[in-house]
Amino acid sequence: MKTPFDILDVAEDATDEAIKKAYLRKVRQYPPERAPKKFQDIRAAFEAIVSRKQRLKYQLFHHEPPSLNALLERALRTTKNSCRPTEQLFTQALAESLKNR
Amino acid sequence: MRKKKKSVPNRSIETLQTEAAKLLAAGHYKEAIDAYKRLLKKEPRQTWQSALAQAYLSRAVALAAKGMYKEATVLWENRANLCQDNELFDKYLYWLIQAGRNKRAARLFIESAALLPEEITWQLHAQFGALLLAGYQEIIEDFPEDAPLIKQYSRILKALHAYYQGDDKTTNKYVKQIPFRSPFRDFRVIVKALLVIETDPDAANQLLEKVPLDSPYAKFAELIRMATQHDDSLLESLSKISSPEQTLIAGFKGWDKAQFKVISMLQSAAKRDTNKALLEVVAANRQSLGDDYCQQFCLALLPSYPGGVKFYERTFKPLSEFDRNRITALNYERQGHSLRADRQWRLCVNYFKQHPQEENSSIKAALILRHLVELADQRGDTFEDNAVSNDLIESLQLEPDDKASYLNLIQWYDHQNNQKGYQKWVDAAIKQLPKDSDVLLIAMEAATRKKAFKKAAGFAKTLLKVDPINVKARQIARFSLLSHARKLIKSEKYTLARKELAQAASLEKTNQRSGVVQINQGLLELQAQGFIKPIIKRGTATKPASKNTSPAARLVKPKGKIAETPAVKLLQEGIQLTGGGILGRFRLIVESKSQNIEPKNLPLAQLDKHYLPTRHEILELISLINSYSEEGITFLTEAVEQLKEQLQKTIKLDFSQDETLSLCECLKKVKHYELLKQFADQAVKRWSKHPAFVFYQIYGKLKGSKSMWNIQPSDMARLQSAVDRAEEQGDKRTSMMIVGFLNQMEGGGLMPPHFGHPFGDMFDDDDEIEGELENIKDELEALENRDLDKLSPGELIKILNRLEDIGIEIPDFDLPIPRRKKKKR
Repeated sequence: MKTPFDILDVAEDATDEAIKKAYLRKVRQYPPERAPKKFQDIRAAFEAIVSRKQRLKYQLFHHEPPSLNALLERALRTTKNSCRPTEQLFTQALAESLKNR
Repeated sequence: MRKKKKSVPNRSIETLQTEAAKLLAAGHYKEAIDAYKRLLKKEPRQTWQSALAQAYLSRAVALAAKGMYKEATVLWENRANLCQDNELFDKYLYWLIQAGRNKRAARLFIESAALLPEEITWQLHAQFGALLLAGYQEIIEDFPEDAPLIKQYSRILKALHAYYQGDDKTTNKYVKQIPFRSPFRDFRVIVKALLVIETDPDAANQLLEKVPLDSPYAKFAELIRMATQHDDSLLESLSKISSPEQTLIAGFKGWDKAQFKVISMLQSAAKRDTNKALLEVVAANRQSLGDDYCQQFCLALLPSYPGGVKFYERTFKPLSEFDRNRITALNYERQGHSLRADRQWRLCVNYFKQHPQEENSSIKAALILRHLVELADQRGDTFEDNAVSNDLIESLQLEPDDKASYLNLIQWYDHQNNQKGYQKWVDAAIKQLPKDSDVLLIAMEAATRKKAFKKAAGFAKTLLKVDPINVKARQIARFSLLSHARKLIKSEKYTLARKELAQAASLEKTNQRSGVVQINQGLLELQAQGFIKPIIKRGTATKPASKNTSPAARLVKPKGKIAETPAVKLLQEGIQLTGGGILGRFRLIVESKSQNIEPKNLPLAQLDKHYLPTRHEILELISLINSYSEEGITFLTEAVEQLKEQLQKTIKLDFSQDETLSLCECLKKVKHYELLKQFADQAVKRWSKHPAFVFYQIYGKLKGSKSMWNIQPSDMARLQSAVDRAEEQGDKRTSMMIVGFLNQMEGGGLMPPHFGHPFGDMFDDDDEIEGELENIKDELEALENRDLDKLSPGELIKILNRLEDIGIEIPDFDLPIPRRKKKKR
């Protein structure tokens, strides 16, 4: 399970204002009419940490183990540009995909 | 001792043949092959040879379906030695390719391409094209130099080289030279997708979706689509592909080697699927993932893996006493050990009490105390002891502006029927949160309950300023204003009462007026102008003007003049707004009685003798009676009594079963037993077995609990079977209602001696009950022989108390008790 902080992409010590901004940014990215499920998750996350008291509550009582995917998402964040494969890598990957079709 | 060789039974050829045929038909191809081989050794029959060929082919197909292509090709070749028809030759070529025998596949394809159907030839060309691109160059020499496959291969190769170099223009140029009917058609789409994947992954995805599932490039297209996936599902996808494929995706994603290492470690942790493995992986990658993030992640993991506390402390930092207790408490919660969690959380609260200097210590302690209330609620312990109220009170001392805690506390005291505590916390809540709509609503209810209507109206006004469209607030506000107005009328403060009624009127929407305001305005004006005076109750300070006057309201001016006054017009308007007919009359009766005015004496025409209320009017009347009952009006029996005649006429109307149930329930509620019995009699005629109607009929007959000792054995038997039927039908409400009534009889000691109680085992001592009944009988007989006029007030009170004890209702009267004649019951 992703934390509300992961979903809104904010730090655990983010302020009310930063959380609200992040929420609005996410809603623009995933409006309810286009991505209803995602929007619901974003809304629930926002409500869970909207105020200092809510954040304290979350930090005190939340006990679901954190999600591996959230960790992966963080691990795989990159600022580097993607690079094109070499001929050798491309050919190898194609050959692998042709095996046991 | 040497083992004996298994002897093969010497069976006849016919038997073997039958067996072989059965094996082939049953799909046991391996055994069928052996059987036919044995037969052919005995005699080379053509039919057996054909059957063996069929068994070879079928087994080849079965093995290929399992991915055993090498074995499939051998079996196909065995078959080819038996017959030369090349059946499933195209499949054989695919199997050769899948088995890695590309060279033989290419040679056989070139030799027999002319014999294959065009569509198959095209598909095989695409397959060989893919092999060339995947680096299987050995097949190229088998194709003629001018073959379209070879020509287009050189173009696509040029396109690819340009792509590797980042020369998109040249790539496009060569891609455009690939015709639509080319073996590289699907690959051309992939190259186009690769050109946009960095800038527009969605567009790339759409292009890749066009590659058909039966294309040789389908898996490769799927692989590249992975690069457009979001990270949520990526880990799982990555775990299913080979290392070169992972590297290709990593390149598209822009991941470096360190990140790739983290992916591998996370993959292995995911495979182990334990919190311990995850904790270790995260701790091991602190640098690449960020120290703070890893620390938070691992701390969040501890409630589900408290065994990792030591590892966490070694890796990051020692945990505070609070954190240790919190982790243990959460772990208990996860295991469903709520009471243990409670104990642990209380240690956390104590910690904050001892460390008030810690950041947010008060609010954290308050939150924990409220969390304890939630845990108690989950256990169903909310009202078991005082812990919940104490926790809530303490939490409010630590953090006084928590609305939910006030509401919980108010609800708690209300449930405990502790009016003092209830009122105290309503006052505290309104003081702390004076403009909160929920709190204002509760304050309004509390004030109404105390009959502090002025106060309730004040809260209502504030609430309507905060929330002008709050329907409940409007209702309560109107009710409070009306109630306050009635009080003012009683004390003859007519001007103030007019203002209150005007305000109550302003709370009703023009198209939703109920008529109640207009009726009260009419009654007010009649009194203010001296046309009518209320009844003066016994025991009140003021006495009626004349002893000869009826205790009903007296008209003090001639009727003729009154009928044309605005007051009467207001009454008429109110009646019409209520719905006219029986509805309007009922409202008039209740509102008049609320002001101690006898409605029969009002200067209004009575209902027409021939008037028959409709079914709809009666249903509306039920809701009106119910709403008055909810308002706490106590004289509804008398009010209904005044409409008895009209109601009796409606008994035979075509009410549905549910409507009749509502009607009976309403009459039971207002204790109008005569009408209840009459409606129930009619209902029993229609639905004779319905347990609720049987109950209402008997209940009406017994006048509720008044004459319950008169119950006939036959009625008791009917009640018994009604309970059984209700339970059989799953009608718990009715069964509870009847059982409640029977228990009431038992509780009052009024179970008749001739009756065997339906719940016999519930009685501890039958002799005791009979003894009590005998005593009551004796006392009643003794009472019959006494002259009540000669009793002292003390004696009379004693007798009345005894009568009440045994369930006889005594009408209210004011002390000192007036001397009166013997009372006949």
